[in-house]
Amino acid sequence: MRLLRKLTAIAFAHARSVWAYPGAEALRTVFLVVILVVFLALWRTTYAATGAARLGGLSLPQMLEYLAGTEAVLLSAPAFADRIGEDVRTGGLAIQLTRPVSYLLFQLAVAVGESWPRLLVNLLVGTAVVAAATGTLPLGPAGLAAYLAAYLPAFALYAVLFLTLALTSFWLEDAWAVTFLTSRLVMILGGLLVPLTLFPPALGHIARILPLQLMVYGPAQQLAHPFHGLLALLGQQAAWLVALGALLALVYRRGVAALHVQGG
Amino acid sequence: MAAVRTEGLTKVFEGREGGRRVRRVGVDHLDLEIGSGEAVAFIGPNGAGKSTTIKMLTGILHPSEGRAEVLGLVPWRDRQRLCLRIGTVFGQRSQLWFHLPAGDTLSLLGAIYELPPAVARERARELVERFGLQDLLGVPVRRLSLGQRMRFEVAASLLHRPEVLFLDEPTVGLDVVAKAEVREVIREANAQGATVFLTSHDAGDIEVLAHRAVVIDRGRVVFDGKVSSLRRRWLTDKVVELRSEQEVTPPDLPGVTVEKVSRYGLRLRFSTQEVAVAGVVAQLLAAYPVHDITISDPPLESVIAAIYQGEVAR
Repeated sequence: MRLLRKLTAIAFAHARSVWAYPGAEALRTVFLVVILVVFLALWRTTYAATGAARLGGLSLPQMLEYLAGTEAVLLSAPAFADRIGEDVRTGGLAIQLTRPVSYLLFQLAVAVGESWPRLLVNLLVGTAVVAAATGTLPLGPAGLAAYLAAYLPAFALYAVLFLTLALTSFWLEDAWAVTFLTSRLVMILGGLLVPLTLFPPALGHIARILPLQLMVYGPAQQLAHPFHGLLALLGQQAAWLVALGALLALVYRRGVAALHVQGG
Repeated sequence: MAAVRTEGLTKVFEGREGGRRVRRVGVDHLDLEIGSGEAVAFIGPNGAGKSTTIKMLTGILHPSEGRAEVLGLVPWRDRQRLCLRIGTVFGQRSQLWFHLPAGDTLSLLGAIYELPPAVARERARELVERFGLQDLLGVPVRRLSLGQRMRFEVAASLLHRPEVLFLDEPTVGLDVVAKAEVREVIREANAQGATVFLTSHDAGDIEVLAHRAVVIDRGRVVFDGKVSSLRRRWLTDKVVELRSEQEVTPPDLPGVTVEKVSRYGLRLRFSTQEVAVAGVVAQLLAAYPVHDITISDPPLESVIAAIYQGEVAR
């Protein structure tokens, strides 16, 4: 109970600090709008050129809503590598480690506080853009509920994976390259721009084996087909969460033991 | 009961530099015991191992060998439990949330230190009043001046009434008034029973806050005693100031340096390891019609400066 109160307080404090810089937040949202407008034009042309009413099982408004869903996930994703790398380089880690809270849980609480409000804003803005452009509102309460149900474990999975990668800063001092490459893999194989159903078969097969699609494609797919395959998705997410969680714990234990905190 | 105890505490840093394996001993078999309620200045030249020791005692770094206990807990094993009972101020780093108003930061720390909300509010109110920070509670930390921020840093470190305070340069960059305030609050915490473990380049911090000084060099303790005996132990220099009845010319005494000459006055410095005090005084009394003469130790500031510059007995 005490731990929950602590983590909630940390998450709320960081949610508030997100809005300390409204200009930067507005710019993120503008970026989302620009992406959606560009892809709106691209998908319109594609649907018109193929003459298909559905591509990969999605109508044009659903495809755009899918895109709003995936972009919302990635544009609100926590930047662990930046934060932990800076802690290691500046020696600020000394402060973090002298607080009576697990460093990992602290980072997760910060991520929840910063990401969840951004996700909701991004999703609302994205949906508004899609509705304005297509004249239909593809997101209903069922879609939103299914999306959020899949988003929570997807967020946890993303956080655990990128937290593990960011912890390599304990040895490398800068985990930017590792996390940059992985984030690009998430974009490509996670289904950020194109749903997995439209992937070439071989690439689609690889993408389905990897956990990356469970972070992006999985929840976004629920926007178009609420609750369809949700239980299987949650099961896969849980299994990967256990495996990656164990890896995170191992990396953290080794990293803290090998730590050289900078400066006097 | 010992608040801090180390036995053979050692930290060796190993890594690669320019393709070569390098091995540096940060702390070398440190044995230390600090009683509950003591106020100890932990000083030494840069790179002597002060911060590494503090980081091991607060659980941030794991030692290479040896043992340590703080409040009966092994810091690197029981870090979170220990952190509930200790307070830290790292003068060059902030424990506050820069984007939040200062008051919200204190509330958040109250939650993190598991204080009931009413207790946290009351403690924060007391500390804020003590430092005169009431008007700044709504100001984001990033907009505070250094002096204001440091007052909040110290307030934050005392919020949960820590049993041991680890202070690493707690008054760095502060003006005279802010330094005096911060020192006074730390003294009060010590008077109420908190053990103080202080690292500072500021002789004033050491003189006001600490009763005992531990000097380390190359990771080893080279002095452990009262702050008042630091001067005698550390600098063997004496300063003689002489006032003459007649105009003076500088003396030429072996082993004695003339620091200042005025029409009727002289300031001389010498080391008691080279020249006896009695001999110098006798020669001065013979050479000048002395109106007044004083012999003094150099100020503690010179001692601390000498220690930090590495001019320690090796």
